[in-house]
Amino acid sequence: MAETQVSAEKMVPFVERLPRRPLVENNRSMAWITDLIAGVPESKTPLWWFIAIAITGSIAAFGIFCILYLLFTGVGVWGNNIPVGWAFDITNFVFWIGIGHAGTLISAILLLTRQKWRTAVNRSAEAMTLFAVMCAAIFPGIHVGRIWMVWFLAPVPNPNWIWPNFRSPLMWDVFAVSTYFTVSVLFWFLGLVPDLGTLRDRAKSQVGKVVYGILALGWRGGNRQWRHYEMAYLILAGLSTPLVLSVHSTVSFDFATSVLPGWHTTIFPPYFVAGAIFGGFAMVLTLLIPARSIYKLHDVITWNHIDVMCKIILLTGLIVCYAYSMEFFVAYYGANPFERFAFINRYFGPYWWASWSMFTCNCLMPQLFWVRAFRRNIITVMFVSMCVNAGMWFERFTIFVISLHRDFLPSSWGMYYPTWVDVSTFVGTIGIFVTLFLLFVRFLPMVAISEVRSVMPEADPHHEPPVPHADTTAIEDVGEAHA
Amino acid sequence: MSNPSHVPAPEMFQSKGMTRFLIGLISVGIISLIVVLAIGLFAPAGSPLKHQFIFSWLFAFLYFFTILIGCLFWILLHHATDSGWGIVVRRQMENLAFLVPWMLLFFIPIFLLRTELWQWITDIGKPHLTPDLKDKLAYFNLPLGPVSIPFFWVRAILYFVFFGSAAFYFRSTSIKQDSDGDPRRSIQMRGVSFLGIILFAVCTTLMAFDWMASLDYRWASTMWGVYIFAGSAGASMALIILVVFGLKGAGYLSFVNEEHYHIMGKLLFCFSIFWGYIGFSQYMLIWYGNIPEETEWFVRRNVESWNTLSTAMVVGRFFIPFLYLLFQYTKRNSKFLAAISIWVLIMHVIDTYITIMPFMHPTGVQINPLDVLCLFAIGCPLAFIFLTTLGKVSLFPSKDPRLLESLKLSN
Repeated sequence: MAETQVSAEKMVPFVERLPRRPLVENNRSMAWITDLIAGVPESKTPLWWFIAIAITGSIAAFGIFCILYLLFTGVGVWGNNIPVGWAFDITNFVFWIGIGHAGTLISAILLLTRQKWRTAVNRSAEAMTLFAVMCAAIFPGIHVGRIWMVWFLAPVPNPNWIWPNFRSPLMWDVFAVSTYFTVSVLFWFLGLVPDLGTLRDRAKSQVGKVVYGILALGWRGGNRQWRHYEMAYLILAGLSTPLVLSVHSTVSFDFATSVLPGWHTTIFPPYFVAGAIFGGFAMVLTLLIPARSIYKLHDVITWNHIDVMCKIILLTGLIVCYAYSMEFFVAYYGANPFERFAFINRYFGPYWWASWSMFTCNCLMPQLFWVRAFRRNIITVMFVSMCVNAGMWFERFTIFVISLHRDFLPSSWGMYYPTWVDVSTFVGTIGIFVTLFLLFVRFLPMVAISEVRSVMPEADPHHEPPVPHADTTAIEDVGEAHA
Repeated sequence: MSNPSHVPAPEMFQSKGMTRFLIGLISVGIISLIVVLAIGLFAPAGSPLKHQFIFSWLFAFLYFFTILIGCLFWILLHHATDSGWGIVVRRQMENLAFLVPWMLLFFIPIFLLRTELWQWITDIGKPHLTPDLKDKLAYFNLPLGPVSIPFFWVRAILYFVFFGSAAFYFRSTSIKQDSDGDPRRSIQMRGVSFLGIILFAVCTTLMAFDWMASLDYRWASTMWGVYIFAGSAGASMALIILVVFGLKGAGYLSFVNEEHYHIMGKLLFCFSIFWGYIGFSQYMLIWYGNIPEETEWFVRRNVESWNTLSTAMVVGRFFIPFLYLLFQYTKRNSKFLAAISIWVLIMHVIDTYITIMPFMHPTGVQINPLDVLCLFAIGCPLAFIFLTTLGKVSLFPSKDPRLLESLKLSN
């Protein structure tokens, strides 16, 4: 901190009357946090975990069966046809990619903006990001029809004289998603290193010592290691930040570069990014609230954390509403009859149920979060998060399927009906996603121990125990009532 | 800080030593104002000179208007996020945003000469409306039997009412807090800012469509409101930085240090990238789609010397601030940060110019003395009002409950 040059006689006393809330509640000690988080992988595997993974694993296995059935039979097992050549596959792809945005937003952008509350939720959100991107990556791979040509998706070295179409946004998508995934993995793993060192040092079993020992990459927690670690972490945060924006912008280009009414609109890039963060945060809450209850993380992931995440959902939800409104407004203002039809058909055509579900779940339900009591109630928070999860899936379905099924020429209109394979593949990816998350909470520290410890008041070298002011409680109550 | 529980006493700006400067400033302003208004109002209707005047005036008006509402955005953001870093500079945002009501006076010539500006006003009077206009007539002017509701002007009034009252509310509440130090005021302002952000988004978007895009009423882009917002917010941050540096140079706000510069520099950096991102996305998607009614807007700006200016914008408004502000040193050093802030404000002039002027000079850039005079005619009186009202209240919110946090800021 730079020294200020105000002379002492110009100073007046200052009373702290609106203190910030502590990030870790109930004056927990640093050792308590380590014991709590590291205790999860160290303890005996509970029965519920086996039951849960048996269920989700079976769903995942059935999803994989559906994928194999598709590969051995052909895309005819899906409901896709002309004019709706892209349906559940692309909807699910964009849905999962979107889910994968909150993690990097929390870990990178909130790190750069010095939002310290991120430390309690970043680890699991990042893990969720990786699993979501893995689920997303399945769909472009299996939707190609001729599976033996799938290697065309990958960037082939130019000396092979097989030129990918660099003007195609689908190509950009592969670059964007693979870069994003690579950097997210590095970022996540780098953040894990100090905690893996902790787990290694605490491990009782020989297997634990060896496995965590290898993964900890020789971490000793020395001054120089911390310095390098923090520098690398900051650089990766800087690299991840543009990636968060670029990935979903590129995904939106897949549609917006076309001239199809409902797809071709300039607001798509920021709208998709906001929607992705919106859906991603809803998924973070969906996963973290049960984890918080099961593992008694209430003092680490406090109501204030949940409150802040609800506010982010409200904000991004409003941005999404703004984009919906702008699309509607410009369809009217642009006075293009095809655009106007596309938006009327969206809400009053045969797929009205999808659009109205989207509107209800994404625009109306998050408005509950204006009320503080609803942001601090497990049932409403879970309910709204579930609505947003569903709403974001319907949003993609609305954009992709409804725009395709009735385009310029009425004689070529058609309908799309999903088959059982379509539905089961999607449900299967949910199974894969939850299975991976269950494995993560079982074997890795689900909260960044070292980072949470670093934002505790005791971590500040100038920390002095606070002297509470008489007014503090009263003012804080007023603050909470209005917050 | 010598003692963590002490903060600086309120500081009042003294304009005594600046009398000559202020007289000079208002003289330049009034002379420019008289010259341009005389030209504009007495030139024969439909003449090129009148046409030039009103376009130059609209350009200058929008340049200042977008910057001032950008300051309001920073206030709203500050309260909504309950941030602590910028308390020491927030009063200057409030003072700048408080100039918005004055813009109503400068809007009068635009209203008087509206038929010279907006083609649709003339077209509405014609017996046969073009299909483009007929389909969106209700948005501009809703005919209801013998009368019609001039929505365009109703909205213009609403923009002034919202931006003006919001600027007034946040400044006056903050000033009241200077005397009583009541933290409830901060909480109240936070609550109002949530609603304010929503209204701000609606008003800014529609303002961008009404006053800028509807100069060519056939054209529409869903990104347009966001594009105008991105440019405005970045330019406002540049102006806030310069005002703070100006006050520091005059011996005030000595506790504003490089930690605060650093954050303001980061916000300037961030909004330069945001502008580039929004501008690129809008341009690329329209270019790629290649639909004639959409490309028309950019074709107009990609011909003759306009193309050079448009390309210069890409470099000047995005690449140069991006590369320059990438370094920590440039953000923390007042001279470097001031230089790029001036640069960004100049780029915002060009951005506004490219938005408005191709409708006046479709064959290429033709800088007219009226363009410069209009900037002085609006800018100098605004600066004069700003400086003369600056001394009425403390230069920083001296009893804000987050003041200490802002003083102790560390990046």
